[in-house]
Amino acid sequence: MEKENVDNLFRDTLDDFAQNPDPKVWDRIQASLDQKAQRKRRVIPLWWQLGGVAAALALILFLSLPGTGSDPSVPANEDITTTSSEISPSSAESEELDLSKETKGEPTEVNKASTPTGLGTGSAFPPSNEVAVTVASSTNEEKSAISAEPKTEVYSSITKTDPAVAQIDSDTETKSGEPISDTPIASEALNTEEEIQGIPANQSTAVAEVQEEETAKEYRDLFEEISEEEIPQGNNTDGKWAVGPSVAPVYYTASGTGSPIDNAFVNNDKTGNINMSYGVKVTYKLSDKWQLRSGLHKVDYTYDTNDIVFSSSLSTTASTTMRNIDFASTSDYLVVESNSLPITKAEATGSDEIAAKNPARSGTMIQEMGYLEIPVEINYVLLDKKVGVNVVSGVSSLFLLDNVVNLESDTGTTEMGKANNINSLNFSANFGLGVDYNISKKVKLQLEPLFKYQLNTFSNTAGEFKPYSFGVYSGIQYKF
Amino acid sequence: MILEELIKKCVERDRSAQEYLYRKYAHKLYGICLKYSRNKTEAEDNLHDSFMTIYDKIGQFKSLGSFEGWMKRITVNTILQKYRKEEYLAQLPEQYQALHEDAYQPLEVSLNTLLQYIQELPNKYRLTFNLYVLDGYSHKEISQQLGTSTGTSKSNLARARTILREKIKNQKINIA
Repeated sequence: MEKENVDNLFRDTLDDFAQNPDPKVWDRIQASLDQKAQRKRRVIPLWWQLGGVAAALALILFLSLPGTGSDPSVPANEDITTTSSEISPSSAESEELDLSKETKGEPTEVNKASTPTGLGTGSAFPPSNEVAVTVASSTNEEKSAISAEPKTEVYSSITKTDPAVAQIDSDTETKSGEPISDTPIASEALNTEEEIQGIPANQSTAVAEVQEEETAKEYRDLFEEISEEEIPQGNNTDGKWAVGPSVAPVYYTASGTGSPIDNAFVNNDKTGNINMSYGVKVTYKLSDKWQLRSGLHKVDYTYDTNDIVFSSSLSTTASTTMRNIDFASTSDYLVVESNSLPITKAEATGSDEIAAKNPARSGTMIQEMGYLEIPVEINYVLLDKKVGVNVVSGVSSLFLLDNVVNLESDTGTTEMGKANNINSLNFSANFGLGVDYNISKKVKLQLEPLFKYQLNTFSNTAGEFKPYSFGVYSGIQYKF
Repeated sequence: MILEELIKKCVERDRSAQEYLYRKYAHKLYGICLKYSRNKTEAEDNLHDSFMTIYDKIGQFKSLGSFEGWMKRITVNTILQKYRKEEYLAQLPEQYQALHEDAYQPLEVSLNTLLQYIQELPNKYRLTFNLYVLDGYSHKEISQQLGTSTGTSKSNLARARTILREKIKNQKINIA
């Protein structure tokens, strides 16, 4: 027989050959789908944990920057640094591996779960979460050697719970001698459960990830081939960058009962103010889950020191007592004191009575700082749908542009001078949550409540004065 | 149901849409699985795995080509992936268990017999013969998919043909 004849015989007979599979196959598929749906639901908390890790990573990144150690309020804790740096690689990898792992069970994974032979029949596993959990917990507790007991237990419960399995029993019996690679579902179940259980122990997850990396890669290549065929070329680089304006009302205030201006105002009540921040934001997509972003923002921070009295004096000596303020030339004769000091009060009242031309005015002292802010932040994407959710953390460098202290009373505002204790370069540690709304493939709206802890605004303060800001940043991002 | 709508619902993991998709295409994909697998049980396993992959990746399908063609490629790739791994990891003995009882029945070269002959071929011969003869892949594509050289692919095909020819010849002698 010629080779063409052989080819033709088979081609003619088997071309478009189709046959209905046994109904049990759909039952198994359904079972696997159920299992998968359950797993999806349970994975979400993991993302949140990873978000936390991302935030910690950003903080550590900041803490290792030079020049920030001068601020005693910043905890430069070495322990944190080492622990978290161990965690970070695993978190980055697990996200990457998620996709490739989902579809299949690997022989190595089964080995890892240390239950290879007894579960060789697992292609007929039901979706029952209960069963999966039993297996997982037993693997955890008795990793080195699983006795026959828990296995039998699992097996019998399968037969009870799923009639489909009972049908397959004869099949699975004969199959038990077959290679482990024939048991995708079982290994998948084990793998998932172990993954979830392993979260608290970050190190064990890390080890597991490393083991899986190789097999995951191997799996990916064929499917990549398919998706590459489907996606028109050049699309891969599209949408990596996004740029757009950003505006935010920013509330600036501080914790602690100190004053960055003078000892005299330590006890005064201070209130934060809301100012606008505006700028441009640039985002670069590192992967489906991670984004790096930066930008340029102009931001003003102001806060009020209340219960101030101020009056003018004939000599300049009075003003020199304010240690952190360089008085403006027009304000050389200004005396500013806290209303909370009884002596000053008396004096002020006295002078008020004696010389009506030169009354002391009560009011508020407003310290204003204008900055150019350059943030470097990492986004971890929690949800990437029409509405996206992500965790943001990072560091901002703030370059001082404006620095002024004003006095405000009912009758008007006077410039008092500028603070001499504000660092020209300040850093802030940023944390927050971002919500996106994709209007189209190219344009999305963003809303991000961000907390920014100011790390070294002042070189010296009287008492404790730890400023922070909270802003709700909204903007539009154009992808290109 | 319109195809686009069906795909969209499957992306949303709508179970009834998933089932509809299965009912509509399972017989065709199962045909492929039977040709590429060693026996019925493995073909069922492969069909299961293929559908799981299809449900998972259905969002990646771009309506540039035929959807059925896309699913067939997923199926073939899933099977190749599995056997390729098997070839690398261990040289496992071939198992011919299913359909053995049929071997005594054929009076002519029936579809089932031909299918059985294909299934009995060792992995690399079976996959190469299927890819080249039944699905029209080139040796270059096959060698890429199976991680071999084009020379190996050609010799595998020749070997597959020889074995099949022998089997058919022997059968005809038996009948005569």
